[in-house]
Amino acid sequence: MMSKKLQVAVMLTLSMFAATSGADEFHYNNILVGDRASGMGGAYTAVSDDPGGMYYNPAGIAYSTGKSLSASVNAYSVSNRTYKGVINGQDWTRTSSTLLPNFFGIIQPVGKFKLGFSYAVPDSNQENQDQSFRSPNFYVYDQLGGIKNWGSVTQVINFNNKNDTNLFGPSAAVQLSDTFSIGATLYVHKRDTHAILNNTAQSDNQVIQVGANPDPSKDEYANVLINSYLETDEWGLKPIVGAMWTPVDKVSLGLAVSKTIVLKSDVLSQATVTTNDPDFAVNSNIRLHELNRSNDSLNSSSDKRKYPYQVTLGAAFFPNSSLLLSGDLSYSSGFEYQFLGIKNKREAVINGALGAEYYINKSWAVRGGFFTDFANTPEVVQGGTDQKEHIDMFGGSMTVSHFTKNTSISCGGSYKYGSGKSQVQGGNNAIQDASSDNWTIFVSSSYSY
Amino acid sequence: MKSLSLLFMIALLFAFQPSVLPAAESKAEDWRSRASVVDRDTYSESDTDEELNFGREIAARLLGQFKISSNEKLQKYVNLVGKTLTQNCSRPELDFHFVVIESSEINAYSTPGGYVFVTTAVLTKMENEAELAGVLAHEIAHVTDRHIVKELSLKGAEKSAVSSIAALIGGASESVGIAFSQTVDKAVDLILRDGYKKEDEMQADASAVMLCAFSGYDPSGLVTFLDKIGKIKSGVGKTYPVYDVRLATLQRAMSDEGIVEMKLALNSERFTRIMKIEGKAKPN
Amino acid sequence: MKNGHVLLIAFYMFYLLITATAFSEESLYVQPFRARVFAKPSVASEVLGSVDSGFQFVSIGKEKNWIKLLFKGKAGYLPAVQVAKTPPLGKNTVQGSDSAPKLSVRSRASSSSAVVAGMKGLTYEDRARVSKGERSDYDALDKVDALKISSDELKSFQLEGGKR
Repeated sequence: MMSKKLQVAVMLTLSMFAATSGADEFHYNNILVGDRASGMGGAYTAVSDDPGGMYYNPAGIAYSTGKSLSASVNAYSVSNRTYKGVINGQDWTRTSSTLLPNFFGIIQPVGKFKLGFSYAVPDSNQENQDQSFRSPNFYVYDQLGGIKNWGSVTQVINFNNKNDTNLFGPSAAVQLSDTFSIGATLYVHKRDTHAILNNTAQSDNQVIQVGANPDPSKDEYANVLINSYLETDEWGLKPIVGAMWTPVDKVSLGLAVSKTIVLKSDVLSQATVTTNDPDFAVNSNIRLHELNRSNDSLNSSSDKRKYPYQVTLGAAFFPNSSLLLSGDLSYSSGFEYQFLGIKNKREAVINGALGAEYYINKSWAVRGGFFTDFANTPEVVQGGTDQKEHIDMFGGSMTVSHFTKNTSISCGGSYKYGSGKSQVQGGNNAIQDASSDNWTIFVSSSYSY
Repeated sequence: MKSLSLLFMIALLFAFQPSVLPAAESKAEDWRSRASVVDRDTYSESDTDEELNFGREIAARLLGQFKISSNEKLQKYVNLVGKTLTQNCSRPELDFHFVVIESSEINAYSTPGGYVFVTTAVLTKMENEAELAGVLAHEIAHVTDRHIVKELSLKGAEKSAVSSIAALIGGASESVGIAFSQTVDKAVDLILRDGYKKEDEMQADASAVMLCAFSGYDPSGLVTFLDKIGKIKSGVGKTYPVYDVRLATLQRAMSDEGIVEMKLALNSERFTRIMKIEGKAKPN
Repeated sequence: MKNGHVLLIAFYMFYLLITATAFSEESLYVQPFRARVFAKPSVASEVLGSVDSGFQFVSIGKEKNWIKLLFKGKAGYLPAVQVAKTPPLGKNTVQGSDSAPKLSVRSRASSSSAVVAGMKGLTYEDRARVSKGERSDYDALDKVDALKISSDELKSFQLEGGKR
């Protein structure tokens, strides 16, 4: 049973809820990138011998064959997240769908080197929530610090959150010996997010008399509209440095290290509260979830996000020209940073992936893989408040490819699912069960010329 | 105990798997290549079409730079020697054409698809038909060994629906046409200035002497001719690599094949007769 | 653990199956119009006989640049350069071809200038072009293609030769 004070808090902090966060903030394998890699669960660090390698381990492109290669992937991705029993026993759901070109790469041999250029979209989603709820009681603070009850209320939440991360840049690799190669990619990192939240609540009973000389014929039901807006425009660099080693024939070990460094960040935010109840007070003591402003003006900031170091180790076995087996282990470091006055802390994460590619004959191949996508947030524990959601996900992928002499076409998909805990209501120690899933279909082609 | 037996199973897995144990060291590109590309050294008719298209472009470009010798009997003679050789070459699908061009450069050229050019100057340096056969065989070998085709990765266009879809998704378009014309440009330069890679030249030498031997020509013809040219420092086309190393490599290759002592046709008399009577190209 | 053992054995059998099927016998084909089969891996050795273009056989060994085969009950050798994994291609000539790629005027212009052939990844030094310009002479090319040698001419030429 929530205290009345806390129910008010519910109202207001939900309105500010997670304008910046989506599953993207808390996971690292949001969309699998690349033609072959996406079919193999992303276990590609020790393979990487085609354009997709520029994203996973640029040292691998030193082993690419043919004079010039090009690969392109188009993906359609749908995600769903459900938070159980958030408001009055009702679930919140958020869905996201994206159709995007998610990778393009080209490799060119120049002398001893292999040079390349690629464009990758490791994260892109447009999340929406449009839901309405009914609550029997709705408590608000009045100007004197007391609490009044609006009674039965209809709430509507419209939430739209767009988040796109684009990487593009050159790569280079060289074989230092028959068994060792190094390479590097220097991506320009561009990330845009755009979140709008409209949260309205209208009382079914509470009538408000408006103005100094209230006109009884103009009854209005108490209502409040909370609108918050957050836009970020981020530029940075993401260098990836890799090495590839052949300890024995047909076995490859790969190592890749990367980190995104934000160089420039422009943040615009605004939060407004509009209500027809003159007693309504926005109590600044209430801890707002992500934004702690409540005024009409547009605020700008140059706060920068931080990203972790990522180190991935991969191993691959090429027993013959038909079969390829590979596995990756990746470590993402913990980190913390301040963003708009709020401290963000993330934990270190280790993810794994296993993949296989099998050529049925010269013209057809199948690929399959499994991968983990663990959350970088701490486990949600009893007694805490304002804890970020923690959902660990597991996924699988599969593609089928058809080859002609110079070209290939692949199509397939991936699916991942996870369940965990969340604490959607700020200032409240209630914990909800949460689940999330994502399916992605991809179509890609590659050719040499 | 259980974990020991598991370890034993894993050890068995690797111990009895011959493909795991590296035999001779092979290049990573070889074992990394997958079933769809592993036969990349096989060529189809559309590859030959592409090669021919390309070779004709180069030949036309060369003919724009050099004048054909108007001596029809000389042209025929060189073609007869050339065709004798090409009967035994490994690419019977090609129609080779041999052309004498007027130039003071002591050189010969070949284009993909089978156009072989010899200059009037190089003919004046020869003493017998076996030397001519050696030079022609060397140029034929560049074509049969597909040196330029491999260097420039000439591949036939695919007309299948799959490749059209692939191109659509991947976004390739007119760039292919531009790549082609730039490749033509590069190939002309390759022939005239860069020269083939040293390894390609030596491979062509080794293939040439074998081809001469199969065709009944004394394989020493190429050797004596290269020796002569090596001694002429000035005026030689810049495309040939250093002669001493080249000759030593060639002689080793001939010794390996057991063809050093073969005494086959030189046809000196016929050669001298044709050069004297028919040639503006007189032996000097 | 028992399940683990079963899985491991199953994986191993599957793996053996895959590696076994990857290695299979291949046929080879003779390429030139006629090739001679030699008794030893040497051009100077006895000729056992000759085979026509397209002759298919299975190799029983390889010595340096020679492929070993069974020929008329005996071991014979063919030069490696004269065999390939695929049958010889059909005769293919392109005369005044329409099948040349359609190059737009613009791309032609770009080929005339000394630019880096970026699409093919070859390094290119900027230096003066050899000479007389970059025109192509297709008329001369047609003249070259028109020169034909008949098989009788070739035969009598070869008969006349063979001398020192």
